[in-house]
Amino acid sequence: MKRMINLLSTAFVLGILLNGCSGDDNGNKPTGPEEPTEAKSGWMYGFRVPTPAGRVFYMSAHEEIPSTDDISSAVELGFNVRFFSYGENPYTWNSDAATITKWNVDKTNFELSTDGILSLASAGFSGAIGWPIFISETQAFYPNLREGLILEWNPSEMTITDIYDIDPYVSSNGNSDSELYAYAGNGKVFFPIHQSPPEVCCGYNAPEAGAVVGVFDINTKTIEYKKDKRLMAASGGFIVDESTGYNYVVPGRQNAIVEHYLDVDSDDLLPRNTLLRMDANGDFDPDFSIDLEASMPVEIFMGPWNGRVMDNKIIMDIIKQEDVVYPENFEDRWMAISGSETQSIVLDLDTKEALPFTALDKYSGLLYLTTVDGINYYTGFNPDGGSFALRQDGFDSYTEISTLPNASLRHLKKLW
Amino acid sequence: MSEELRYLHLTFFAVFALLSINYSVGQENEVTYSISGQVLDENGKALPYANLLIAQQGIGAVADQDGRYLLTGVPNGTHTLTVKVLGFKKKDRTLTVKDKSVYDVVFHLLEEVQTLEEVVVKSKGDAQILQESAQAVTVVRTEAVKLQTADLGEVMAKTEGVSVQRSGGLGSRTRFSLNGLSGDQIRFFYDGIPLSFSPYAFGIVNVPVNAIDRVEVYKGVVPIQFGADALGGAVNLVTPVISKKFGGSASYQIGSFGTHRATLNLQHYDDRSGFFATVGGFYDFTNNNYKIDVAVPNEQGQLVQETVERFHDAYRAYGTNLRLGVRNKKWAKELSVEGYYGDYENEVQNSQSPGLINEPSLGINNAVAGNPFGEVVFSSFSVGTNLHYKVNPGRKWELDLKAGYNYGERESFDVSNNLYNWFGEIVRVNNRRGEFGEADNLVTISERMFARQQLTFTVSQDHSLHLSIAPTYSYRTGDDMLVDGEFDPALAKGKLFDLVTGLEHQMELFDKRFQNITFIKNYRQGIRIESLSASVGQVFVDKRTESEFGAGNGLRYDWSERFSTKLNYEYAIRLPRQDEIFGDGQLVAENPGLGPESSHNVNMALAYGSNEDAITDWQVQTNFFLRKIDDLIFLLVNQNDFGSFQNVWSATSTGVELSGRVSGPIRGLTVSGNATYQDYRNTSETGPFVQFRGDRIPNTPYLFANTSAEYRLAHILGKENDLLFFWNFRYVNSFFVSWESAGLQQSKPEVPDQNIHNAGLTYRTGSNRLRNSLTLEVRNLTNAKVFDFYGVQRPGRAVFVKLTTQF
Repeated sequence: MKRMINLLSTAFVLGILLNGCSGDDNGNKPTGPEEPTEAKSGWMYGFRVPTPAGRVFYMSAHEEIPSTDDISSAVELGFNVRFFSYGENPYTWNSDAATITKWNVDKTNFELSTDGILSLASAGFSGAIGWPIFISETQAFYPNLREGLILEWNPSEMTITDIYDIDPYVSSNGNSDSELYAYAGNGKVFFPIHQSPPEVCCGYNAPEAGAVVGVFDINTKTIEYKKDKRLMAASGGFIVDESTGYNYVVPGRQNAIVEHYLDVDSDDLLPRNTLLRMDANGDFDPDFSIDLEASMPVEIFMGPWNGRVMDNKIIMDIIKQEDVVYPENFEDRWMAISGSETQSIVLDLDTKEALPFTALDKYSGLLYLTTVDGINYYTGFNPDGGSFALRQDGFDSYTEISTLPNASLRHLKKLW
Repeated sequence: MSEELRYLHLTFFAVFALLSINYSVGQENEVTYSISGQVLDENGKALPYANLLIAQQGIGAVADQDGRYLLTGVPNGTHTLTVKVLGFKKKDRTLTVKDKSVYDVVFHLLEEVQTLEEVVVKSKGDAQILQESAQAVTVVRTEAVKLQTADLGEVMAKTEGVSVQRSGGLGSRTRFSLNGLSGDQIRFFYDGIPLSFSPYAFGIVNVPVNAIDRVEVYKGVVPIQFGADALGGAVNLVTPVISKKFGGSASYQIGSFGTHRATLNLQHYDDRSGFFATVGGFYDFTNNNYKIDVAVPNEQGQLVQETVERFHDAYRAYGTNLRLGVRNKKWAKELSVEGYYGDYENEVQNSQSPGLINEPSLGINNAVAGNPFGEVVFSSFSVGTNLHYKVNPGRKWELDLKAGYNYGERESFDVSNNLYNWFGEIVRVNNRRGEFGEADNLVTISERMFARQQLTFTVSQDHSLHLSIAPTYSYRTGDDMLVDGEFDPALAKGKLFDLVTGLEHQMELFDKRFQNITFIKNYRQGIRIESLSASVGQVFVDKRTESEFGAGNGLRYDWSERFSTKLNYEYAIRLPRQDEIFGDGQLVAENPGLGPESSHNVNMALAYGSNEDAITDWQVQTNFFLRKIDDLIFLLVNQNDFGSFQNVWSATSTGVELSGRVSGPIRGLTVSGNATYQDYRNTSETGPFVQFRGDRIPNTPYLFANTSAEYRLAHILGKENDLLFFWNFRYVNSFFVSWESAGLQQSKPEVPDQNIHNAGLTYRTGSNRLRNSLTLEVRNLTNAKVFDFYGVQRPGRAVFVKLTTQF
């Protein structure tokens, strides 16, 4: 009996020790004697990390763009998060909780702290919906075009100002379209609508579909859906020319898919990889179109979404015709995109000619991140799941400025 | 010829070969006779593993777990048949064998009760024999918990090394982990056949405890007869043995959250004809309307914490099974056929990740903020039949054949336009259908067939050989009810054929103090998927075959009657699922080169206990385990979320389990407890997780413990009546949702510590012939806020009453 009690006691003590050893240090930073000074600049850095249970999102703030991710010092945000920022504040959208969280960045030590939570749960907003549009410190909009809703909120107070019932965008093909990277200007918000092809065979009514942009008037709180029926579908992003006010409407990746597999019902279409243009009022320019295939064997237009025009030129990713392998089975159609190598080209808006762009030859599938002081930033991904940030130092000069060995960079923004 | 057909031919050839052996060896002893029968106690309960001997002829046998025996090769003449069971008085029976080919002899033995300071010496049951074998097994007896109100998930969670994470109450989504491994890495069985071939196809934790006699938990090293690619172990639910002329049990439970649970099991056995029948059934219903904390927005969108009742989380399940057969014939130790049906429907209240908010500055403490669902329902039914044939073709041969067919349908129904708040009100009618995000009404249809054939050859008293052949065929298709026309991707037809073959040698030496089991397994898999292309109108076929080998060894040595050790090892395999190989045609591409997951599994167990005649009965056990897992499968995606499953990471789980039990120092009091510490860490040297090498595997508990105490007051309001007080406590250490080295510690979402107390009392009346009990139990006594999964709160305090009768 005595030996048994000893054994049980030992087990109990072992358990306590194991429990005690399991608690790690809480990561408090050492405090120094120096007087803290405010940093001259601050950058927000948002990324996601794979785990066996799903992808977890992190966010950190830095004086300069870090050369690598210091994951241990980032704030962990959980699953299903999107990043955005306005002014000096980062914001995060938790699509599970249907909440926007506003964050403050301490300018001396770059610690992040919450500064309000706004719930959209009862307003019909949840899941992976579009990005919010900031107009000012006190006015921002959140779209849910499919539900016919535009929500106005006050980022300063983190309160809902109003919810506007607008004409919903109802897709002609009954599919799940989405508005992704919106753009505000001239008292309007422009929502490029990413239109997916039907899930099932076999007809596709292109004139009913068309390239569509939602134009929301901030003053009248009304929306008008502008449609250009010359193109089957647009992508969910613009290429913005801030010098002229034009937004270039990007052809949808699905156009090639549609054309390959489905019977397209129209004789009046422009070629599938045609770039359209929209003026500052959101009207399509009926006299403008650039057929990317006219000078390059482009099969699928890939991006970038929401990029910027530089020197009246646009750099974009495409998949060349010779590099596309279409699976025979319609259900495997998206493999044409995922299984093909992308290539960068440059489009001269003056000559309307597309040429190979060798400066980005070593990269594939770049995504636009931000523009700071006229310099574009992109992110790219490594096959093993890592990523990097790429700075465009000149038109054909790029530098990898940050490497994330096992994380995907999702957001980079200069806050001040 | 297709690979699948080749496998089928191979399998049927093997079956034919086994039956041929059966036939040929059955011709050995044409001039001798057989004596068969059963060994029972004075109450008609079967006594397993009795020794039977005709000393003059040197002919002997050991009865099976049901007390049944068969002596073959008995010559003409008068013989004395002696039967011995530990704890029972020896019995002799003189028998003249002359003209009948088979003689039926049933023994009723009297218990040999030795009064020695009130300690009663009894024979070992089959559960104890298995527990003390060289198998890496923990046997959970359900005799006591049948009287309590815990479901099987909660019973399993009290087992060392086992973690059961649940997303709610009865019927909720469950993650069962064994030494860290979970999901498809653990396989579940019902009387040795896959659980999907039973009325309980909807998950192990919802199986009624009263339908089960015991649970066998095989940790990392799985016997060949299960015929499965179990990477981390297996769990086998064992039903009660058929031992009486007529018997059975019934239970009814009622309690909080509108919970009703009922079970009925009846059995009949006719000694003379050998005919037996069992019938069982269960019915479960609960509203699961327990209270949880939620964060709900006001009109300005600012969150306020409220406590609400869940309003769309009901669960209903029912099922029945009927088994008919004969036993104890010359041509069959058992031949039986079983039919079963199970049906369940589950309302879904929220997504698996409902959005937890923890902002104490706003007065919000771990409250769910995402929208609830108000109309999503999952349902399923399963129907099938099983055949069992067991025979001794010769003195040294035994063939055990099980086969079955199952048809099942599952349906997900999510088509509502309504948006609900946590008060159960419709706050909006959306244009979009589907509360998960997209409308879904998918019916999945499956047909399965299996066979498990084990041929045993007893080489000598100490050596035996076992050959197991286990083919399983499954066919799956579906129908998306929201898609009109013929081009429905869900209509794709998937065919999967697995063939697991095992060869095992068992030996016992040194007066049975040493037992060793060595085995080798071969896993073969053939997959074929047919889908109709919408674009070109033709059928496309994907197919793949795979063959892998595994092996293992288990040994046990009894250093003394009080101290024994076990050492087990298996190189285990999990073959990829068909969706992992062929993708979904949309975001997940096929990967024909995808390999299996593999693991080196090691256990070392020590058991030390009191003498059998000690006043204080106690036992302590410890098990050290290692799981070195490679080629783990993970969905690797690119920036566009396209990807494929690949073998890209590895992990190692090491740990220790401690358990102990003591009874006797205080009359009527029994105290037991266990604790598990598992160090389950990422060991990837390449791939997406290499940056987190050395971290614990996220979202997995790593320290948990259970304690229970039972105090029995005898002779309350009657000589055979007693009152039992019981208390259980479960502790689970907090664990992170993501990698432990990632993120500031103060910001990391974690599943908090759990401290759960359950307590109750049972009043028990009657004898072994008719025993009734009434239990009152309070679960989660302290109304602790408990989470198993991040953001998904489990039930608080609940009261249940349960009436059980056994006859």
